[in-house]
Amino acid sequence: MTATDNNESSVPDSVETLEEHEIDDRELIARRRKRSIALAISLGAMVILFYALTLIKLGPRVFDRAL
Amino acid sequence: MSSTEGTVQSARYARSGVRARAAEATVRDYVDLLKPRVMSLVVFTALVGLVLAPGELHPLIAASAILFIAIGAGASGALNMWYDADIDAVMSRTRGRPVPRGAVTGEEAFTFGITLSIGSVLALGLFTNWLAGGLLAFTIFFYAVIYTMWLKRRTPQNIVIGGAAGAFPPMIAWAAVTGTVSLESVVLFLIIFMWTPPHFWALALYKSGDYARAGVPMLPVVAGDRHTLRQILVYSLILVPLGLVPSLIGLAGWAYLTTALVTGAGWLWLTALLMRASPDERDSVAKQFFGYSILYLFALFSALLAEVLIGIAPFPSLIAHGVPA
Repeated sequence: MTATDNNESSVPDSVETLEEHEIDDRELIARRRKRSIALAISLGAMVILFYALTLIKLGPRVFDRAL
Repeated sequence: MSSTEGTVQSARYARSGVRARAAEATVRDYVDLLKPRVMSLVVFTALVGLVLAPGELHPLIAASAILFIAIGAGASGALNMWYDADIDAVMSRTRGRPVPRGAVTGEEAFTFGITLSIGSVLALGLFTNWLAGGLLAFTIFFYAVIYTMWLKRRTPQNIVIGGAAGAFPPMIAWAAVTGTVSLESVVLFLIIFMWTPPHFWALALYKSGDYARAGVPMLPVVAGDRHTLRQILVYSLILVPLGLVPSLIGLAGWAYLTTALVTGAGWLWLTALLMRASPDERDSVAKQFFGYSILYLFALFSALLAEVLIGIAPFPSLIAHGVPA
């Protein structure tokens, strides 16, 4: 198989198909961005929640450390 | 890389089905991996267990305990979807799930499930107690390994034993507050445990074609409708009296007892209708039964919750004080 054969088998055949894939690409980037934002919000919320839970669980002792 | 090159690259991935699939998943797909409808039942029953349990828990720790239980249940759902992707793909009810649809790869679903499982168990154990954390770990193991990997494809009793996984949440929440497993939490567990088989067998009655195609040995597939109906009757005759028990052990009062009697009578009436339905009517009555079973469990647990919120005192426990002469 030549390089050209390889290109023919994996590259979309028409301009129309390329445009469709270009739209898909934008959609994929948008989805990835939304996933990243959701992950960031989840991690941020988890940090705040764990901080608050630690304060509640340990109470004033959280600041009571021997130097 | 120019935008055209990027587009060509993504077309290659889309054809090979390797990297493009990973990039296609939406946030919704990941939420769907957690089986949000099952999770809503888990949240509700765990909330009731938490509210009924004697003892005090800081409101934020209590809310977080429910969150961790829900995440743990969701994680076991993701592991179930990872393992069952092949049979989910051939059943009409499940073929739209993220893994068989190709939106999320099996590997991603597995990693997502394992990560959330470990995280939820550790968090629940650290912020409440390790009995609750251990029970949550056992529930996830039970659902993902005992039910999904072992029982589901091997025995028509799959849902009977596997149903325990869905019954644990109120017991976990109870343990989160009290640090113990007591009779009251065992009764809450048993109500859901005995409710699960007739609930799923009713579904299996009108979806038996789906289960047969997928090779899942649900009772109607391997033993036929008549045998399934007899089993539904047996479980119903145990479940409805069991539904009254919270009023006898000092867990519930008159409002719950009334609800359990009325909805229990409705359950038995629908069971009789299902038993007497002709084969042509059976699917439609089974659908009614399935819908009613959800309503029944929701009504029982709502009544328990409402009694605490309104301040209706539970009846004295017959066990603690002895049966009156």
